[in-house]
Amino acid sequence: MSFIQVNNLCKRYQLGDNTVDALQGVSLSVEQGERLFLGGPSGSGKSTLLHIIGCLDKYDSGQVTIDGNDITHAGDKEMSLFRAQNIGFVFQNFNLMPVLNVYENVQYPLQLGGTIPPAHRREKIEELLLAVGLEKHARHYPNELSGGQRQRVAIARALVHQPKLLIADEPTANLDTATGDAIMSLMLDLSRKHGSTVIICTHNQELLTQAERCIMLRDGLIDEDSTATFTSSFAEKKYACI
Amino acid sequence: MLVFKIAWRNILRYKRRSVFAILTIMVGVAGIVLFGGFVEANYIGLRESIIRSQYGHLQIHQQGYEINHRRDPNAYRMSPETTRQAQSLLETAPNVLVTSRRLEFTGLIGNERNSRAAIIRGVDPDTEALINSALTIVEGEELDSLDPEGVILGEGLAQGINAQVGDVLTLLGTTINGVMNAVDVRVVGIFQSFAKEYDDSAMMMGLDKAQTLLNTQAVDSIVVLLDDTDTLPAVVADIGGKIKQQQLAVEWQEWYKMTNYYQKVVDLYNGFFFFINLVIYVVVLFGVSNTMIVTVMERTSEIGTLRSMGMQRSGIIRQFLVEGLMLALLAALLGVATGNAITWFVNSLDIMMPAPPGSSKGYPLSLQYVEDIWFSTVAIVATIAFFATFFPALQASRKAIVDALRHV
Repeated sequence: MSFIQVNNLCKRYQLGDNTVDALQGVSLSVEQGERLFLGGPSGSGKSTLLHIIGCLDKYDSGQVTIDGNDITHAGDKEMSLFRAQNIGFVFQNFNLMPVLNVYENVQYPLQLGGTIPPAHRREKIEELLLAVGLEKHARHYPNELSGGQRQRVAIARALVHQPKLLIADEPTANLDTATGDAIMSLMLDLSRKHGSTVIICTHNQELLTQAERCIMLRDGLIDEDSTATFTSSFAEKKYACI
Repeated sequence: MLVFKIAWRNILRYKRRSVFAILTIMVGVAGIVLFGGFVEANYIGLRESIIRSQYGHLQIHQQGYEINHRRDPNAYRMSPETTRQAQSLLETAPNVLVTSRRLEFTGLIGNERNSRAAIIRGVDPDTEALINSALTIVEGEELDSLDPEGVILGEGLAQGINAQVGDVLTLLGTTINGVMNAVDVRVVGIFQSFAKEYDDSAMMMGLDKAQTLLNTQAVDSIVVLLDDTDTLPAVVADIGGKIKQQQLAVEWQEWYKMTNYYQKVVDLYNGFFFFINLVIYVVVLFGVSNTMIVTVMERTSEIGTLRSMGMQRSGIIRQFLVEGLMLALLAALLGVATGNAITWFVNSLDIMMPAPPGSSKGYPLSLQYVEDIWFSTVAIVATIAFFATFFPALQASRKAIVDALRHV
């Protein structure tokens, strides 16, 4: 069985008097350790899909199974516990706690139900800070860091509790190209080291063309699921509007 | 501990908002502490004035006195034997400072030009001086046991009959046998008590002379003064037991049962105090609510992040509750400290207040340190802060994570 199994997933939003079908029967599977990029134009449903797989949002019908756990009927407490132990998030706006310094931000997920014993936590945090190159900034607060540095803290925070799944929502959107590339490489390298499955939602054309696997969504449906056949010309041709 | 660390740092982070909320609560709490201290000082001042200028802490009477003495005063006075037994019993009781006998009656006091009906109190001059320590001699001197003809007049009464210190007056009374009797007395002093109405008709004289006038050896009451008003319930319990044991035919009354003036003043001030507290607590409620609602709104995205990392809804509520309570408790404690500092400062100024309605003299402005008010105020502010924070926090915790993350 795949690490993530999504079957016939539907999600509908009510926006005023209008009903929007964000997802209209999406099915996909992701293997353990796989690195999946989600692309598609605005409103295509990629963020909705990402949020549902990240156990942040509910859906109307279908089934989602992560690491053998069917989250369809999971309650809020179970979902929270599942996220705390199994999922790491990297957001476009970094979403660091402004009142905590770098060390404390990275430490936070461990205090929310991480599985690492307290004796090994310090070691783990320092190891990650070293890996993201912020060991000298451990006592700095987010407002004392550049965008790239903040995103590195966010990556360290997302990986510190050794999640089985790393979800990144537009992680490079607020960074310049060079920093974005560096951040993406760092995130992919570290997640590979940690053995985490990665799902990245991005608008970045270049990233999509280089992805090992890329799913392009359009109007709430999978338009293309490309593992080996995905090419840059395909992306340029079909998604120039991104 | 992280929850406290985050709460504290958030209070510091939003400095202006925190300072405003803290000042609102602090000023309110300081106001309650000050007004509570003022009210308590008034209670104590009035209580002690009443005790030490008229009633003592406790009065012992012949059994049935309270109900019947107005109808037939002579039949309900204490005999010398009962008086002696009761006094010896009282003097062995703990906390009893002094006891004094009184004989009360009405008579006509005057000179050749003026006369006026007076409430006359025959007293043991030496012990009564201790009990009546709140009585102010405005002219002349106190009663002296060595001067049996000496009397002191209330200020209003002296003015009414145009009497001066040194004047010889005639006192007309009725003996217990119903015969008119008269004695000459000499004014040795003029006094002011706490109640102007009392001063307008009151006179005090030596007990022996009063007994001679009434042709009796009996007394109306034994007035008891304690060393500490707070010990009254214990003393009453002790004395009550002993009286029963010795089967003395006497009854007793505590000071507050003899005057409804004190209770009316207390009720009035309690009404003011309650209303002021209510207004201040409503201000505190709105202050904390406003602060926490804005705080929750501004940190919606942070709530989304925390929830995405796996924080339970209860964790979000706990975080904001700790923050709201920390802010309120800090402000309340600062308010208590400020209130006490102002109390100390005001007391050091020795300000005199004008005479209150119905009173004949002013009193020094004094504010009390009332621990009960400190603790109850802090507890009430904490409770208000809890509810003022709980509902915004509950709303925040119920927000959809995805919506919270999108919040700008």
